[in-house]
Amino acid sequence: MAKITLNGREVDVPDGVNLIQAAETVGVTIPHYCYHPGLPIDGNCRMCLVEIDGARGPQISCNTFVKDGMVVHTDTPAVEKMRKGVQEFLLLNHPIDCPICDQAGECRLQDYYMEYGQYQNRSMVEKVEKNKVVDLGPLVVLDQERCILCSRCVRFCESVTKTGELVIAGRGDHSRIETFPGKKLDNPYSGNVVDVCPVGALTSKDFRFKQRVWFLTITKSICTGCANGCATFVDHRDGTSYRYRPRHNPLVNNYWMCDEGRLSYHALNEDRLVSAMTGGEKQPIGLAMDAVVAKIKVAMKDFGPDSVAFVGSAHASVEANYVMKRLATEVVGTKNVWGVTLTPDGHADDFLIKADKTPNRRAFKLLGLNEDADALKRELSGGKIKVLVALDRNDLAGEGGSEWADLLNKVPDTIYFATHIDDWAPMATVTLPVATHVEQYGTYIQAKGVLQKVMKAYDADGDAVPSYEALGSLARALGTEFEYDDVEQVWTHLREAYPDQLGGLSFYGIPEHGHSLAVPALATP
Amino acid sequence: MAFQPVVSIRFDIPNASHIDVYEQHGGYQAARKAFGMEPAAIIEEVKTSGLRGRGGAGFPAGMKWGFIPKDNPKPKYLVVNADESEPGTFKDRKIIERDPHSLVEGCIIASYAVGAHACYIYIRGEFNQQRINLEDAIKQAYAKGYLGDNVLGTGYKLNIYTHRGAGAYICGEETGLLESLEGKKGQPRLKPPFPATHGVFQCPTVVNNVETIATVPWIIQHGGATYASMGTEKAKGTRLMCVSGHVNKPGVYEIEMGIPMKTFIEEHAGGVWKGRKLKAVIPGGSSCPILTAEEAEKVTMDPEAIAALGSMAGSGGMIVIDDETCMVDLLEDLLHFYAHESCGQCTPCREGTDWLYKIIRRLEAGQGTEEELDSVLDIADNMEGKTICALAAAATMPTRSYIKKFRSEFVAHLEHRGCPKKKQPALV
Repeated sequence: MAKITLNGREVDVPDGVNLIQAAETVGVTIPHYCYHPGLPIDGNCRMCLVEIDGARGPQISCNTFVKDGMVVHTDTPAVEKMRKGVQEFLLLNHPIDCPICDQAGECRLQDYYMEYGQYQNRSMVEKVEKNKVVDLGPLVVLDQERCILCSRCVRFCESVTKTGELVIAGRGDHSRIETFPGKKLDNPYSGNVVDVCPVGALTSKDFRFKQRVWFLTITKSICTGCANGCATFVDHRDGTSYRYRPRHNPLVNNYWMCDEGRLSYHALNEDRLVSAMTGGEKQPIGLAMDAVVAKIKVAMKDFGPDSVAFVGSAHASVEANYVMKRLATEVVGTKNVWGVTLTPDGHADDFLIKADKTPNRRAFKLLGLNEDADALKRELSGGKIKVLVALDRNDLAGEGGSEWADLLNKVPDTIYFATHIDDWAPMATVTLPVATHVEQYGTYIQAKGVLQKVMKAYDADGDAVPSYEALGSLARALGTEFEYDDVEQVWTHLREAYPDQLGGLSFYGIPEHGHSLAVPALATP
Repeated sequence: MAFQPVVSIRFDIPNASHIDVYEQHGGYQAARKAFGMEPAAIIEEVKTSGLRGRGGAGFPAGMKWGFIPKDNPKPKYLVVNADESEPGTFKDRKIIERDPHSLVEGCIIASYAVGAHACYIYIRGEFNQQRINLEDAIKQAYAKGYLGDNVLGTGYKLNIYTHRGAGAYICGEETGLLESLEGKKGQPRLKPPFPATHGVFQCPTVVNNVETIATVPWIIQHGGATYASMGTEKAKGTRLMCVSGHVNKPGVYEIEMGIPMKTFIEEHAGGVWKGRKLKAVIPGGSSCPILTAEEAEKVTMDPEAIAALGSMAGSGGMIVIDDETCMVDLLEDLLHFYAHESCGQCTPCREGTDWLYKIIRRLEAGQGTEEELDSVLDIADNMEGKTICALAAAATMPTRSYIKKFRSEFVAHLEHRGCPKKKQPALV
């Protein structure tokens, strides 16, 4: 820790950080455009100028690192004038087209004008004209006139993806962002430039003009596109998700996420199953549940508990898989508890994209579910399984091909907890609608063994409920006491069941950046 | 000691750019002498001479060399700034045209003093004939064993490379130059770190102006004390002055530091042309605040005396202005230059230089308002000292001085709806 004097107040701040970060730790905001903690320092916007005793003139906070005894002023009339001056310069050639700008509501130019600007326009000179609606690549559109040339996007492509598609061309006030001739901004992480852009210059083709951001509610979630489980914000309104944005998590994704994952939110809104089905026909949820209970009871009575099999899902939460395991072992008493996923490996890179396209395969390891697909195949072909219960987005039918389809068809009754109308939903004897990860509280364990929680953004439509709730109702109907309709209830039991791995955490006690499970087996080989 | 020319001694010798002629006139003797000295002793000698950088900032050269860390394992570099882009300045061009070997010899001595085995001369792109001249001189020096793997038989290795600029003013700023030299866009770097530790290729680097380096051989040969005996207490020795504008004899003249400006204009430069009166003087290149005729007539030509009047001796590019000149017109021209040359990297300079230019252009065209004229000083204040490099200040300092010292002319443009010196007022 270093001792500095900030606006006359002596404070302790961490060593080795710059003044923006240091001030933030004690609740003082130093405005800035070009500085981004995930990018190299460039010092070009000049918004973070502050006064430091003994320094030659004002200094930029982003490139000034704390030293013991430093005396810093961020609230003097001189600093206020500098900020106002920079704000005025930045808006001098800006079109001020906020009413038609997608960034409005989350724009630093707007925010800082209100906070630090508030001057009367005194410019009588014509504005510099530049290009608008420049198509940079598959995901990103550029408005050069709105750009403040902070170079965050350029630095992102230089230092994070190392693809270098973007450049500031030209000089003086004719400087503008461009791609190199013949190049497109089409790297797998291009969408991040929209997030780092502090103004309306770079907008997302996917999101622009869909929603005004002030109508959106922001909920902390994760991306379920692959095993990396990038921390995200899901921005939603009235039960519809409109975008993912990466959320800072140094253990998982730093500040970034891939384009494929970014667009995967679309699936949260499309082809959803919201009512129960039997034999491919809609059915009231109550009747469907009664049918499920009856089928399990009959099988248990006629063929013994082992005739009921449960298959977890690498796409379902830890909670869903856990409650399933408890129901299977404690209520039904079957030995047939599986954690099999057939999702094939896909494209991977050395940054965020993982070959494993399931978000929670490691939950099987934590819970000790049987992952042997061949053994499950043998069990199914033996004909002893009469009822098979499968969790959310289970891929046995979808990915297993005709071989698995035949096996599943041999089982007299299949009960499928489906989020979407996928390959299996119409085939199963009874299909029960369940919530997606943004419609429930829960946790997922990503590739490096970091357990992250997702918060509920909105309630699922129709009859869909979180799987652990549905499983809880099933357990109750089968005549047991335990029932789960709150994630914290699940966690009361989870942390008792896995004290070493979960370290006695409660759901709400899981840290912001997740909890690294101390289980070697969970680490990615 | 009485004044004797240092840098310009061979300017009038025919073919002095040929190595044989250069050697006949004492050339490369200083380099020989230097290799008999310890590097530290050379730096000490340059410190004694009081030689200050001739590129504009006037930083003591010996002290700059002393900043090169001894214990840094990285290679060290000497970079010579021959970008000479400050309007009004054309002395380095003359050195390279008339006496390129003095620069080459200076590079040898300076490289040896700081431990550099590679020296880059970054030369202004427009100086094509001069570059050819310099490259010829370098070739001759290689042929005679002054450069290469075994300099003067001492085993010291030194290579000199020339690198052409592409015509940007900002590449005269030392870190902008280094970026350009590395093949990047010429934009100044954030400081710290400074070139002495993180220069070209992130290695310890000395960046010196051509004239500074070309002065070094004379200092080594005649001794720092001899050099220091000329000039004033704080500004020692001599310097090249470029004079242009409304004078009878524009050109490059070597003067002793501290002579009266009046003497220089009247004697060296042949006085104001066409029998007109002196109105103002830009003392050291376009970035320097302007001096009125009264100020110019009483000031002496040394950095401290000029600084006392709020201006700078700069790079020695004097522009003399006669009484027929419109100061608004002149400022418009000047600001057009800075707006055009701003690299655009940081906000106040990128936006401010062009804004100032447009305001003054409107004023000259008869469209200006009083509020706009008043805003100029405030805009200048928002720029100056708030930027990465000094280009913004190079635009705002003269702007302030023009408006302060010639305000009545600016006001006349408001009242007259345009330039009173032009026959017809501009139509609004």
